[in-house]
Amino acid sequence: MNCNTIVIEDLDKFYGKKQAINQLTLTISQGMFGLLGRNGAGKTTLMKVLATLLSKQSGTVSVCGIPVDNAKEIRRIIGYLPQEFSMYPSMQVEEALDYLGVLSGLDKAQRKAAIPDLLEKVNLKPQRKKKVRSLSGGMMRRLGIAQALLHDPKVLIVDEPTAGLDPEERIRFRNLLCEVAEERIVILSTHIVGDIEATCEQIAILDEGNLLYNGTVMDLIMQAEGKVYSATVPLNLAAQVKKEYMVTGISPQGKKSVIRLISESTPDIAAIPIEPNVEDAYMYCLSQNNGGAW
Amino acid sequence: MFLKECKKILLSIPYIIIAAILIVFFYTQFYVGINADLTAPQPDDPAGYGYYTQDDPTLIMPAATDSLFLEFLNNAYIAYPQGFYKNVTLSDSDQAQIAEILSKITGVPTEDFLAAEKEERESSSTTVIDAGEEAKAEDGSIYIIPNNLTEVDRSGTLDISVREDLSYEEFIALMDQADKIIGGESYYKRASLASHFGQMPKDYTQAMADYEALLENGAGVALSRLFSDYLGIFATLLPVFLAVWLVMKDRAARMNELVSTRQISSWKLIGVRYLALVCMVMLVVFVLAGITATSIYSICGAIDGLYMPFVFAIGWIMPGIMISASLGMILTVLTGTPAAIAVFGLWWFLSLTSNVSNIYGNYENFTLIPRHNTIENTAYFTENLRALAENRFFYVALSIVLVLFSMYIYEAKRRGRWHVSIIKQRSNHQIEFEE
Repeated sequence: MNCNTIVIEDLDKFYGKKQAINQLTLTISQGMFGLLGRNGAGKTTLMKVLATLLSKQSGTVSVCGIPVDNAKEIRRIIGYLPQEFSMYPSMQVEEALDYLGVLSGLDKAQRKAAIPDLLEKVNLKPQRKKKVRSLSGGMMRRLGIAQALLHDPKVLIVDEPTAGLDPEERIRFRNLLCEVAEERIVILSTHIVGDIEATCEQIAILDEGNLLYNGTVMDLIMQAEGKVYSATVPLNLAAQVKKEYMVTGISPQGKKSVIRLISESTPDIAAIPIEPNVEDAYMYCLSQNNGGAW
Repeated sequence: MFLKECKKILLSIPYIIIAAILIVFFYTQFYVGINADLTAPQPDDPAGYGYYTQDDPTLIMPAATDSLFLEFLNNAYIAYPQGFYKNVTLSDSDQAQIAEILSKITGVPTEDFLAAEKEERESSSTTVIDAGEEAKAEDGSIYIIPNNLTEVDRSGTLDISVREDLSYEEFIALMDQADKIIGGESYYKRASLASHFGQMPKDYTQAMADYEALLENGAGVALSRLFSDYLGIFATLLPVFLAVWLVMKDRAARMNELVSTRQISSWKLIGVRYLALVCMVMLVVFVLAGITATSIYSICGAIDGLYMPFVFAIGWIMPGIMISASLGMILTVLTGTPAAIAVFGLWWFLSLTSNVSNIYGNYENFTLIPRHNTIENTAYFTENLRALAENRFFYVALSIVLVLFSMYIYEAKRRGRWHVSIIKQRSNHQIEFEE
């Protein structure tokens, strides 16, 4: 059994009658793995199944060879950073980590060794005696990573970690994730394409519980080759273009707009083909699933 | 982990409030009376020596008959359903039944009682005395004039002496009937007759004899019993608040998922938290037990049973803490709401108020809050010790069962097995699931 792989086969998950994940088959290997999709695509549900917070209806899921039903063992090897979280606000940063370390089964010596290192790693050492309630959003996210890494897990699951962060914090956070991904599987779930572009080589795209794409970022971009165009149109025509084409960007330039659009065939307006980026490729992929609509 | 949970509880506002309530209650209700309870009575004390209850038919029968007659004449009966004062007015047919009971007790025809009542209604020849004052029956027994009741000038009216051939058992049965007609929990209830109509003032000799008996029977046990009676009331109620706070704290701090994905088992997590909660409340109880033991020592010297407050704290008070905490835990884990406070609060309230007429000794029927609000009545304690032990063991066992269920439910919810989903439509294209 591969110790650095997550294997998901035919996974189904329902909320009542609504199917949140539909026959999902996916293999995730060591390094950064990006999970892209709109809100409600099933990303958080998948992560919660992996983190033992939700039970699956059918299919098999194993993390480093351990079936996800074996919750105790899974919890030993995964670190989880939920989308929305906090810690006891009256506790000091160091104290909160120590408490969670105890819940992770670490003895005093292990906690004493791990906590200062992690605080150093996430650049929170100066804040170690501060109350949790006094941390900024970015600091809180970094503390979240520290708690998830506390027991040195083989798998780190992070759900929408950069939401609400300013650009500087976002870049710092991405770099931190890349650093920790050198020695473990890191699953990054997000609907912010820029986060994936900057950090992940392998990605999966989910939509309404279905797997739309699984592969490298480069391959995803290649799928959109020759489908992306740039058109410069008068400002008053921009709305018309938006109705007829899938527009991924509009930048006003004086009395004109430079529009970035996706089209299966050469557009009827004056447009030149351009190199697609990850965002274009992602939008193209979603539109393919919707029969070209978006 | 146990110490960390203890520290978390110790530094929490709910715990500080609970500890403060217990300490204030201890001092105001129990501690202020220790000196008086344990100090030898002095001759010619102008404050008197208190009262004693005597289950003596020659005292109780005339006093109770007199009281029932007074209430009958005014058609104003006092009762305490669930411990609350209630002025009961009976219908004509019920009044006729009471008249019949009075007739059976005194031998005076029922019609005479009904006529007297009618006359009383129509006449204004009443002598009002202050409600709540003590009244003395002809035989010297003491009873209390109930609120809103007037004493009637009965000179030259009915002779309401108890029939000489009426046995005490028959009398009690008739009074029980009267109690049922009134609606229960009146002065005439079988269990209340002696405490209401058999109270006699003590003299110095009796007070001294009681004091010596107290020392001989074990002042430590008697004081510990009283300590448990007082402290048990709030020590049983308050832990439910702490349990609700402890369980809901993770969610309130948005820490639920961080805790749920940890390696620790649900059995250990819930078990340790429950243990910490019980121990931290017991810490306050032990401190107060220590103060009680110290006081006993300072007044009585090194008598036997100085350690008794600690024994009673564990045997009497702790089961109450355990059931309160366990019910709080299971209902909060199950519902995710503070519903346990309402459920347990109601149970506590009903238990407390339903025992209000038996506060000097009641451990039976698995009552949630055993009562023994006197340093006397040792005979009841000795005779019913087994009932008390069974009562307390029952609540310990029930608590353990509830905690085990809490662990099971917590694990199931932790793994999303009892997941409640609300589908929230955000837009035409976005559907988000929320727990």
